Amino acid sequence: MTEEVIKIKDLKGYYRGSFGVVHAVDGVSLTVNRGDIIAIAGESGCGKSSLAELITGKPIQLLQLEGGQVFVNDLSMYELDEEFIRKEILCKVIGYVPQSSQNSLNPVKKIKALILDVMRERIGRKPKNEPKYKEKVLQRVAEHFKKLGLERFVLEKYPHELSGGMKQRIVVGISTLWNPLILIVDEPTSALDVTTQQRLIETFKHLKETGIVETILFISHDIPVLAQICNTCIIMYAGKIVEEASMDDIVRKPQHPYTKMLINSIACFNPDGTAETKLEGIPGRPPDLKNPPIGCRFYARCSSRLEKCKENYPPFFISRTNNTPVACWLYEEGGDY
Amino acid sequence: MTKETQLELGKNIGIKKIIKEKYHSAMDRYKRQIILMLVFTIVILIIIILTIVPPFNDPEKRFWVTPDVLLDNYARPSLEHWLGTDQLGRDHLTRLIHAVRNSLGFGLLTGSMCTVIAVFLGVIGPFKGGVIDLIASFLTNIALVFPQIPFILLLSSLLQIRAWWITMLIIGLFTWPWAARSIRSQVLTIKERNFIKVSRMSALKDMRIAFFEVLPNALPYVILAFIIFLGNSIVIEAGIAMIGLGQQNSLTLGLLLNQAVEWQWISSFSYWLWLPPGICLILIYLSFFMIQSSLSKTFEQRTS
Amino acid sequence: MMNLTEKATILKKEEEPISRSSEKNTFQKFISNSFLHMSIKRGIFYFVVFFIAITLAFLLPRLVPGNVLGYIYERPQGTSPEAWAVIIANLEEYLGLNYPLEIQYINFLRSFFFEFDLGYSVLFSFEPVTNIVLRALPYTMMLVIPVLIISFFTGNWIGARTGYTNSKKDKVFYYIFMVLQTAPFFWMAYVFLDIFVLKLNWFPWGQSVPNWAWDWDAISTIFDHFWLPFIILSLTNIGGWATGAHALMTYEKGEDYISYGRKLGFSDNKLRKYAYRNSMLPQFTGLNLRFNGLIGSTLITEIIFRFPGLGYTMYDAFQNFDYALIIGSFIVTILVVVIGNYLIDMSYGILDPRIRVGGKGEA
Repeated sequence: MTEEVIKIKDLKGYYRGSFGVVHAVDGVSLTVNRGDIIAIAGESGCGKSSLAELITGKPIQLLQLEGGQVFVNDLSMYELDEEFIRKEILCKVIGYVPQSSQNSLNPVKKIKALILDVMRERIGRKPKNEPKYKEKVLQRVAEHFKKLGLERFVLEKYPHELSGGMKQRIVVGISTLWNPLILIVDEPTSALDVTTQQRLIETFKHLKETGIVETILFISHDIPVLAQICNTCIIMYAGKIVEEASMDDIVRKPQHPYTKMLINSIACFNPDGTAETKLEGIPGRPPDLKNPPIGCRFYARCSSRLEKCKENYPPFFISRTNNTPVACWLYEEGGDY
Repeated sequence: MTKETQLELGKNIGIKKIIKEKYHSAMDRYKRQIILMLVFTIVILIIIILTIVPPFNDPEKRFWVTPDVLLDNYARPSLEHWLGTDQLGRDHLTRLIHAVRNSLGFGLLTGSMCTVIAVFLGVIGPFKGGVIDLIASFLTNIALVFPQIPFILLLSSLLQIRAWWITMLIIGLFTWPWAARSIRSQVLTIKERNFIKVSRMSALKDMRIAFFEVLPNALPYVILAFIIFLGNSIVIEAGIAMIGLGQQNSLTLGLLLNQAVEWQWISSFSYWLWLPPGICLILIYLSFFMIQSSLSKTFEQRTS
Repeated sequence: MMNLTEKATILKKEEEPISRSSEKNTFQKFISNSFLHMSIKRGIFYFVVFFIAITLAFLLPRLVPGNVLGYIYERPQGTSPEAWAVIIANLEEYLGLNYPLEIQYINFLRSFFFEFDLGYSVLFSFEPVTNIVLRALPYTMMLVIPVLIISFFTGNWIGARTGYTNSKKDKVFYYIFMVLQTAPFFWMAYVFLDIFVLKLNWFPWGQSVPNWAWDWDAISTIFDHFWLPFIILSLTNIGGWATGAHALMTYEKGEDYISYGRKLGFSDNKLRKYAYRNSMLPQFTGLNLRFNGLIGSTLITEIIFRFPGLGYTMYDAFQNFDYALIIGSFIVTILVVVIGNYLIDMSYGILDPRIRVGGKGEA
């Protein structure tokens, strides 16, 4: 059974401010099916987080929507009423785990009070004829937290009394209270040490197994960690998708020149402790997104560039080895190079 | 990557281009702050230049008394006397500009005095450590909650001498603590950076590190503190002088306002005499305030 | 029994080290260790400040060059030198000036702390200074407390509003108050006097403020004199709070918990409340400094408007060389400042859970 949870069509979002126009997300199309666990990977500053920002409701402040559509459950996100998005889409369809969970909890509220606030904001006032409404809600929340390995007493705590890993799990817990159809996780592992990372990945696996969340969209630069859990991987570069394939194919048989370099620049160790291949960085800098190049955006750093790459942006071609879309002129004839 | 592409990349990066880029990005990010800063700096400069150029810097004060003393007292503003004259027939504009000059000079002296105290206590504490640090921070904390203006009132009423340096000392001794505290916290963060650790390992003397390595890095905050002190001390002096507790010898804005009270310029409806000193005071303080706030915004943005 | 329960609680503590505070009863939870610790520490600190201040108040008149009591020693015409010497000796005995400095100091402290005796005023026909100062104190507090509260809330409200929404209409208010803040209040006072008293005749001019009494005439006259200083102090103080709140709010609205709250489906109103509450905490620490500044500007405003509070009493005493009264009113002003600061610190401790509950996370 495949069911489209999120469908993005040619989405464009630019930052507009006194500094100029930054083309952060520049024509991205992708589909997330039910049951997928997808990773969106790329260097920092390639527009991953802006993409997440655009998917989860009307963007605010400097980031502005410039075109394209997002369908959530076949509903066009940008035509919906704001109140409807707030009450029916967020948390119920799209759960969001922010990049910096350490500071995402209001420091002057107990976790309990914060959760009750969330309830009140989303459902409205408590029903009058239910006597022990608060206790019931908290009981339910405690049960939910137990599945994530959190004790009940964390509800009575202020954020500053809790450790980093705990806060992260609490944020995941609050985001999944309504069993959302899709969970968007923004840079889950960036501020954690290796063991806590592992525990967090276990938590996500557990969420999937217990059926709390079926579909997860990870946004991260950390491909080795994501490789443990994701089945599909999307590589973004300078505001555009360059390659989409299964996680295995991305790691073992990368097609796009950028993906190759990205995979090569990951430290990778054999069990005996020797590095498998020599580590290679990617020379140069990502293009200035204020006035992006007309042609391929990877042109300046690409080692195997062609003449036409400079003037024309490549559409998606199907590579023969993986049978997956790659945005590179090298695959024009459908061949490998 | 081939050698050719590397060369090609290298060609693009020239020093001129980097400077140009930096300039443009600074203009992009801090446009508003830079414009505000420029505008108010120009205001201050105009005020300073006005007080320095002739005929207003006249040491013999020829413009103070007009020839027809008694006929021209309390004259309304006219082409001859732009701001009218006072009860002795003195040209008010000349007096006002003298007062502005003296006030600015006073602010400069008092401001630098406060800054020196604040910098000294803020820097010496973290570097000497131990008892000296304790004493410095204790002094700062006490002075922070110590009620300044009641104390200034007490001192001015006890001291029978009315000289500008008494007022300067009183203001200087009581307005520095918040700056000492913020400089101290700044120094504490800079102290933890690697280049300071390196210079400590290379066995430089503590004080040398403090004043030659750390202080230049905390300079933005010192400058901010200095600008705030400058504006504040001018205004506080004016306040003390106006109620008759300040110095009586040199003509400052405060003394002008004090004369406004003493000679009852206010109740005699001679608005041209008492409005301009206040407006000058507001203009000076506002300019320093705006320069300071836009500077601090720029620093904040730069570090974040 | 006692032992058993104690042991039980100890065991429990060892089992669940984190959930400890939830076991305490409400009072203990409210006044936790760190809070008590802080209140004692601040109390000692403020006592030291007060002590230093009264020591200065004792020493300064005695150390200042040129004896400030010199006018007493001037012999009036027509008295014989011998008789005058006796009178002076009696006076010194009466004032306690013939003892050495340290004994004078101990006497001064003793009479202050145990009898609250600040000497006698020359100006008010040898009335005890304590009475005069206590009579003046309500007038000062009448200005300080309402101005502090009103400027704090209005300023923060304006600053927070403009900081959060960036709407043009709010900005106008914000800029008006920002400029008003830079205007020197003493000059503003004269501008207001000129406009509202001399030109428009809205407020009385040249009358003295009556003593407080529970009848309508006295109260209404006092309030006639009260409005102008009150308005001026509020206007010039709102701006400072507004600029602070504006900066804090623009910072706070970019915080992670706000963006996460938006993703959780919070309404904008609730998020603004969150940001407001959080930006209020640093403002509260600024309350100390502002309170000190406000006391100062109140004293000066009182002098300008002849409003019979502590500042005007001090000024009056200064003009009549009534040193006991100057020092008495100074000491009471310091007392007000110190107690006010202590109360502000304590209420900050109650508002911020990081101080109230204390404790740090495991990592």
